[in-house]
Amino acid sequence: MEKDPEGLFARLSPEGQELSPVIYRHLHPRVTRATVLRMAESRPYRATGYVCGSFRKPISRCLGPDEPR
Amino acid sequence: MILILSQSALESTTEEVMDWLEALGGRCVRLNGDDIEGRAALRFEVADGEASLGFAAGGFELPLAEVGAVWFRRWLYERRHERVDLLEPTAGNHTLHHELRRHLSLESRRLSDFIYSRFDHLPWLSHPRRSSLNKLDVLQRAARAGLATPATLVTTEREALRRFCAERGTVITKPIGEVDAFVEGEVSHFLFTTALGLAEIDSLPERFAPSLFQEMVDKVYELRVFYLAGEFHAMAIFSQNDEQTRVDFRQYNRQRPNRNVPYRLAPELAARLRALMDDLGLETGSIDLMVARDGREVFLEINPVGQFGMVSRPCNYQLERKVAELLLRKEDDGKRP
Amino acid sequence: MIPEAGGGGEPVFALFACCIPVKGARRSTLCDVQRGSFQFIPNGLYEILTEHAGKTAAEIKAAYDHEYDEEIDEYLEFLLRHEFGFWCDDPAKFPPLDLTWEAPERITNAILDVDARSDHDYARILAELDDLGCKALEVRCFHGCALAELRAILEAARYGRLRSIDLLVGDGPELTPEALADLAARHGRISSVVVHSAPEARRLPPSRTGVVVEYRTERIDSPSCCGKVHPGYFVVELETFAEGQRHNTCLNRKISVDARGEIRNCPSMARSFGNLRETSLHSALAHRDFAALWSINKDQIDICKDCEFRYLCTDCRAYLKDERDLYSKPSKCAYDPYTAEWRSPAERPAPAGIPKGAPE
Repeated sequence: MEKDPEGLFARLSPEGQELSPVIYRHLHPRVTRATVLRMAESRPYRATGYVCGSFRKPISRCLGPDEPR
Repeated sequence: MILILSQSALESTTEEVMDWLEALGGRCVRLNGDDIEGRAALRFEVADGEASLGFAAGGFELPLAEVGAVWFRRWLYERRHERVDLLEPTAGNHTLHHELRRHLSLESRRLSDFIYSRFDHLPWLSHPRRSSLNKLDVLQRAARAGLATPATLVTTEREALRRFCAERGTVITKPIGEVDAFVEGEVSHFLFTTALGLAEIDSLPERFAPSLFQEMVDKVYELRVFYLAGEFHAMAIFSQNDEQTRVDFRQYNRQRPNRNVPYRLAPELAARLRALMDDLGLETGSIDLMVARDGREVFLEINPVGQFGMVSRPCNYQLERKVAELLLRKEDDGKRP
Repeated sequence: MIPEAGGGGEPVFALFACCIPVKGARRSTLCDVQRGSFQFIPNGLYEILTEHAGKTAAEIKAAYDHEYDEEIDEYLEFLLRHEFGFWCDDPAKFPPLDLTWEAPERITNAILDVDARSDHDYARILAELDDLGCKALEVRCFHGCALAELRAILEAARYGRLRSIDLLVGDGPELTPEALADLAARHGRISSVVVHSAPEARRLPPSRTGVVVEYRTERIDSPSCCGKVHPGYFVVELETFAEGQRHNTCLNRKISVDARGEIRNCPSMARSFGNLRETSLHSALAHRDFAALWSINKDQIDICKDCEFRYLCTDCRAYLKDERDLYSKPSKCAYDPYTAEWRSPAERPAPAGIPKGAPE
């Protein structure tokens, strides 16, 4: 199945392997997502990682359809 | 004034609840876990029979004396000292490093517990005392409450696993505790639920570290149910059609997301779940179930301090508002003699 | 695909709640608000999905006297293939989506116009927007913009409550791709940068954080450029779909400050609620007529009420087909739902960049 021959389990020492539950043999390596979250600081929220993102709809619509926004 | 215990990054749900609190005429103050690691000025003084706790951030003192209710949302996912090298490269071996780390973790935990205790006399939503549920204990209680649960085995013996597999069919393995991931630079190794074939089982040593196995439920869809003060807000997740998400829906397919739709719990199921939540003393939590092909609703687990944004958003349940309203109600109730 | 019979009899066909049919005069859309796309469906299928919801395939066929059995099978196969629906044993357990829209912010979005003569107190404007809970701001500079000006605005927003800033700015010598990429990297709130009046059109590859910087040759030199309606501006998304049920998708909870400091619903609206010199955003918002247009939704607007795009399309109340009729359709909309045609080839949308399912 998903047992990855190069997986983390193979890199454990003999003792490490002995102490690991069965699920460690089936770890799922995932590359962290290519797009990084946009974050800012927000003092009203006392947040250093205030998650930013596009507003869900266009706020104004000045641009024509040739190169749609 | 609602005190929100959170962390300072990646908490958009916390911020939405704060927006609602303000819109509903409430006030809130937020204390983040990283504040005790130096992000805010901490001062606790006991002198002459008087005690005072203070946090000062951004040039002003947080008005902790005005707090009427507490929401425990999160605190510290990872402590700063767990992420850095505590010793200079030449200064010691990794056992010493581990000793230092262990003690700093303990100190941090003690301080956190102390801070929570300053607000013990107030109403809380999700007190951390209740947030460390034991999965195995919960399964037992769920069965007692009349819920269907998957046959579960925790064992160190390959033979026991073989017998279990022979009785129960396809078997999955998952952590005894929470799903987690081991971060290694750009790659994270996730502990997702995994199905085990007979070949995998045969290749195991005769004895291994204690591991959890369950019969794999032949599911049609899954349920993620957010429970809040007596009410259920359920969502069905259709993860079966996608090979990537079939065994663990957390292996999100971002190109073609699973269908997530509102769901109405049958009254009998709701009653049993309510009984279980009462038995566990929980006022809120995210409950995971699977609906099997034969129609059984199989209980899996509860996360008492879970994400509810993933249910609120697709189903338009406005849970952020409901949490804000509950917090304000709790504050009012707490004030009554 | 043979459906599995559950506890009782035959399963019924059920749409997923996030797949919502919307009827138009000539054809309908099936709006997938979860995956952000739509498909055209014939009105016959709309009828099946609404009037005959909760029925088995056999029952649906019988309802049409078995005259359309083959078409019905094709429809169901189409719906299943796109994962718009499923065979359901227990339709009572799958309620429709509640399309109630609510937001805690008194103002969700704002436009700030700037030209060569503007004299805005950015710190004050951003502070007042923060007080109103504003989440998203679009800044429109009609002139060739100095980088310092943009920086001043962004600095004023640096610690506030905004989650998104869109910049639409006139080309200037300082606005090189590198300078703009740098600006976006330093200010996480920037969602997009469009440089208008540029000598040539260019779209830079998205940054690591997904920010798109684009150069367009169009001249955007006044608010009158706004109000355009075309599929490039369609949004298929639960929150806006819900908002559109009862509210005006452009003006709802919007406030604007034009280049002269006048406070309006949007810079293209005639009525001013005061100038920033004497009036605060808060007091303008408190004026009893400020929100008068917020509840005019597409179902109240002539022609739009019969259009299959009405919950995907952002409305415009500033530039109307008939200036004397507040309920007439936007003047810049070239679509006719009664013929399902766009007015002219020039106004027909270009193939690239259209959301899945848009007309050819």
